[in-house]
Amino acid sequence: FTMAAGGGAGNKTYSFKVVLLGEGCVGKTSLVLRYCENKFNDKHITTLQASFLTKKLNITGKRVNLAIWDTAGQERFHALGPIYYRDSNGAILVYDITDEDSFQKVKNWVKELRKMLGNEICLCIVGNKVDLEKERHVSVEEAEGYAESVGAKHYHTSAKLNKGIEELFLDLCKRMMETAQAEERAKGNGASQSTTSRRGVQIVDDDPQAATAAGGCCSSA
Amino acid sequence: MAVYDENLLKNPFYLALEKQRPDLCSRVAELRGIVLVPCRGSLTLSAYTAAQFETYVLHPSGEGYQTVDGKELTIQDSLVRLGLGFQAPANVPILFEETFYNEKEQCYSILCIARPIDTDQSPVEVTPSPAPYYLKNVEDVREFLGHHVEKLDKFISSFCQSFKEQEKKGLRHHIDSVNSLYTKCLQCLLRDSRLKLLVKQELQMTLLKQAVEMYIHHGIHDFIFNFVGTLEASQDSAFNKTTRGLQDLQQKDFGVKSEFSINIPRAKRELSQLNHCTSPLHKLLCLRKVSLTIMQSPSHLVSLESLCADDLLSVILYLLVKTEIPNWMANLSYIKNFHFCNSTKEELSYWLTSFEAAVEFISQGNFAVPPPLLLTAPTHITPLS
Repeated sequence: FTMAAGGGAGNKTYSFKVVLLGEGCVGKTSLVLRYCENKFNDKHITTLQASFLTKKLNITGKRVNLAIWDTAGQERFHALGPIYYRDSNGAILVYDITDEDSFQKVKNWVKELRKMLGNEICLCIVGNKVDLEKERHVSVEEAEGYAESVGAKHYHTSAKLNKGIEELFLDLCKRMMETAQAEERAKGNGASQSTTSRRGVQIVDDDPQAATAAGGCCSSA
Repeated sequence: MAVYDENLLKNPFYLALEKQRPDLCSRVAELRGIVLVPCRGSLTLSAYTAAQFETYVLHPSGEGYQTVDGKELTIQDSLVRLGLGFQAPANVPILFEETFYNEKEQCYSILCIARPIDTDQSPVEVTPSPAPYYLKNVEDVREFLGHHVEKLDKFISSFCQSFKEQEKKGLRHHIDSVNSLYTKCLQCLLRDSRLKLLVKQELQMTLLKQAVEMYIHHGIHDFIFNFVGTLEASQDSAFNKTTRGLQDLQQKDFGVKSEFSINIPRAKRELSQLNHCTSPLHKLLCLRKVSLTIMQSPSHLVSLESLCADDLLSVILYLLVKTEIPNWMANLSYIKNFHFCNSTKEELSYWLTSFEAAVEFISQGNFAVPPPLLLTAPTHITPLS
């Protein structure tokens, strides 16, 4: 149960958890700091803390509390991923367009997330540092094609120029709201199973992209 | 922990602004501007003049902001500082910011502020504060609950009596029975008409729930925490054995960046309080304090690079090995199983996850024990060329 009940009947507040994944040097922390930058409070910030950030949004009348969780990205911490991912509604996977390796890493994480969380998690693959377009090593076609093949959306951003970031988060929020609404409808239809098995149930999906990505991965019983 | 919140779309001032000045609303959306909205509890007027709203719509100007009616103000340190054009200089706290997107995908910000700014100090009771509200310890909880604790004491003592008979039952049983104790206590308090009125404010409701939870846990702590401790005893001893083997490792072996070293002694002191906290919520607040201490910037002169999950995790790993907490598994299990008003999506949950991840990392045996060979090897080896 969320504690923010939005002050009474009718309007509920969505609470979404979004995990942030990416290797150290891809600029994932600059990206979220840009987004959550509290212009009105920077004097009070003890450090540029980017491990846990929040933002309140109101999208055409619907309130959204966004909690952005940075996850441990170093190779040595790889096995800890699932501890961070659980219960997340969205994931932002960041790579550096000038660094092919960082894109390969993203692919590994996508596999793992789909395995752990199925199709209910909204995935965003983000090519950061488009200000360095000249040094690009990951082609736009390859990245977008890959994203589509796994039911994710692809975005291009530049934390340096503050480009594309707001669009990315707004779009992600809208998708998470749709997913949450679909889940509510499914519950309302009497199709509700216990919440622990909801991931198995949700495979009946009218989203063709999500369906292609469903390849046998129900190991988490 | 509870923070002030309200649904601005139901705020009477904002509703009046939308109704009386649609022109200002569309202007602010087109210019990505800012609207100031006094919090619901601070509103004393039931009607507004159309001109009044012009003081509440801002656009950037020079170093600060200008209102539509030409007054000047700045925004800093979570305060709106009133300047030229206002009756008197004053600082008004910002309670929270919410970013709005309309049908046309235009974006603007609303800052919910503690009181109106176009009139003198409004004569309302206490204005809310932007800082999170806490019940720091059991004394705070007692003060908050007042004479109501007597009612809770009755429930708690009957729980303790029956616990002795149920001791042999499993974890699930105890989680359920503590949960039902909590529900009973909360329901009992909410029959009180004054409390009922108070909890109409969401913040107060959250605090009441937390107070009840903390108070109950304090009362039954010895039974429940000992029970969990027994369950986790073998896991804990295995974990302690692992950490004992790592005593010789240095900060750099854990990957701790040197700029965070300065905060480590204080973080250790905070962490050593963990076993003095009796409720899961207090333990969570303790872990939060440790995390915030780790991330504190040592001085205003040093600008740390942004701190991410990897940095935090490295310091926590070091703290786990170097702080005497002999029962990590029991603590984690107690927090996860007996914390009731929780949401897995909020801040406290993030700090808990960081500690869980660190405990898991050490348990997996990820630190190679330094080979004993090194002890006998000469410290400087000149390469044979």
